[in-house]
Amino acid sequence: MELNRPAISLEDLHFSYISDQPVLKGINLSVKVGEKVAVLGRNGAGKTTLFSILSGINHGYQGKVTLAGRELKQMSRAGISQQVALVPQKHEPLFPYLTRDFILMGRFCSMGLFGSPGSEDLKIVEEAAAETGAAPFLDRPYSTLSGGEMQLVLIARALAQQSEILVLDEPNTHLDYRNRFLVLDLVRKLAEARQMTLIMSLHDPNDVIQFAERVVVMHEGRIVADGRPVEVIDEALLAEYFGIRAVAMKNAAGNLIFKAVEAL
Amino acid sequence: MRRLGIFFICCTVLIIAVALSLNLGNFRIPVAQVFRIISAKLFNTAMPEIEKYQDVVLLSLRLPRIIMVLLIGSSLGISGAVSQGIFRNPLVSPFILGISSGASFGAGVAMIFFSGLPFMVDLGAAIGGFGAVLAAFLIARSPGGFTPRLSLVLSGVIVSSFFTSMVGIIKYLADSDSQLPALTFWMMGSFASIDWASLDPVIYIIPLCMLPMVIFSWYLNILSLGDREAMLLGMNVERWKMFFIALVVIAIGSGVARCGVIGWVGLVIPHIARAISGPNHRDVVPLSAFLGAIFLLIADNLARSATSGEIPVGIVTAIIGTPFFVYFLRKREVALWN
Repeated sequence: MELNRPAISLEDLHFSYISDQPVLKGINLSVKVGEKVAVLGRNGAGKTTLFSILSGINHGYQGKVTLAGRELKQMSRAGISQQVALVPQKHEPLFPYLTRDFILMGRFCSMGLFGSPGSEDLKIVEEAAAETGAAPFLDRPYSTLSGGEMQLVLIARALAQQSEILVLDEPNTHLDYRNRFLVLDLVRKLAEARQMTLIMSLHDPNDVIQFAERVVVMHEGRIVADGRPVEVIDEALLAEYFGIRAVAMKNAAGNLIFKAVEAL
Repeated sequence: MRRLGIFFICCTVLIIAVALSLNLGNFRIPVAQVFRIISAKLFNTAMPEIEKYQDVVLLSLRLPRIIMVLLIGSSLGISGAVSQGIFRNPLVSPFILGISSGASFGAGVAMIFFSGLPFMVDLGAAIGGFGAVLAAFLIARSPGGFTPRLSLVLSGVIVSSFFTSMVGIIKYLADSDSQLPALTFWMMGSFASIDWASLDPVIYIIPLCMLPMVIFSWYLNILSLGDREAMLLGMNVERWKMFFIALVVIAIGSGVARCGVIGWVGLVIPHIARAISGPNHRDVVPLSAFLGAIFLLIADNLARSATSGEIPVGIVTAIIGTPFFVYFLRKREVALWN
């Protein structure tokens, strides 16, 4: 796989849900294949909207979105899902589907019209579950799983789509201290093993420094900073765009960490 | 294996139920005699010794009626399962979009203003039923051409209550000696006047609608996750929603036009199917067809043999459906829904 080819390219992207109230105000971004990008920004900065456009849910944008060299607007619904798998923040199930059946739904984008999942698809599900650690609860209903387990299953379902790009919308927001680490660590390893392009929105600058190789900072619908996390994130940026006074320090291993001390 | 076992049990129960239904009634025909008459007819051999019109009762009255009951019952069950999957709601029946009240209004108009013309009630019910669904759609549709499911449910409720009040006006205008009872009985559903001729065209329409529901039943799993999630997984949500709703409306509408409104089956049966097979629509959809057919056959047998007269079948389905439903709810309250 050619690693310098852009996986995603956004040119002058504008979007608004209600006219005169733009949510995205001219986003330019190019992400290379295999890059691990974190998107940092306050609630309402436009992160979720950006992800919805990337995964083909929000139409009616202005500008150009290109996925693996193809214009998004020219792609079919299933074609987009073969290219981009989005892991939602949370899924509240109505029917108590078995975890196996739930992950299997990730295979939908690869089915023909009269297709229904076969043994090949079931094998893909088993593999995805094994890679994410969801294998032990394949035969339990998804609705009976804990929050951390549900997140692993959602990631497994995204893997079953066999896409090149993995997008995660706040993957660890609802999780406990251990699972927050576990999920991000898993996602990073998966992206490396499968050479997937990774885009995730995160809220904790320390997570960004630890798990991403590039950070894109969004503020009020614009990208205000872009680069290596340790170079981009500093006390001034956190004060200006996040309204927080934080102090930078080095931990015992010599890594940069931030500690919030006061809301501005 | 489990899937095969359930299928085998369903077929067995269905065959036994059909055999008993042929035997049951105010005019009882022994099961052995039933088989003799049917095999004589099938293989064109000499009719066995027949007592008083046994062959007429069996072949011209009971057999077409049972076939109609199986068609309507299976279409109500399967449409209920599909509707609950589309609308992600356990309280949804296939009548959610206003088809029953629209059809009642259409039938009422036909009975009062066009009485005497053949097939006018069927035609009126069909026009009223489809018209109500169309109205619900137009109300729910957003300018962008998207039809949110919750809006559809809401507009279905609005359209239903409108046509229910229109039925009230029709009843008020109806002649209380002849037209009012006729309309009231029609609205409770009945198979009393079914013969071979009345099976046409329902006998083609319902299987033609049910077949794609079974073929594409797996798609309902994805649709049931909600619009956003289904789109993320690569589904053209609007197209598939319309596809399934159209199948439900045509299957249910053609049955209602012929036999009136029969409630409860479409609401209760999918819950029972889910309790037996689990929530996967690949199992729930075909199983609901079987269970709907069996359930309505039992209800119709009671309707025509419990008393010397004939009870409207819609009353029987509700009377035996309610305790059945409560029993299942109490027994598997968690597994039933969520």
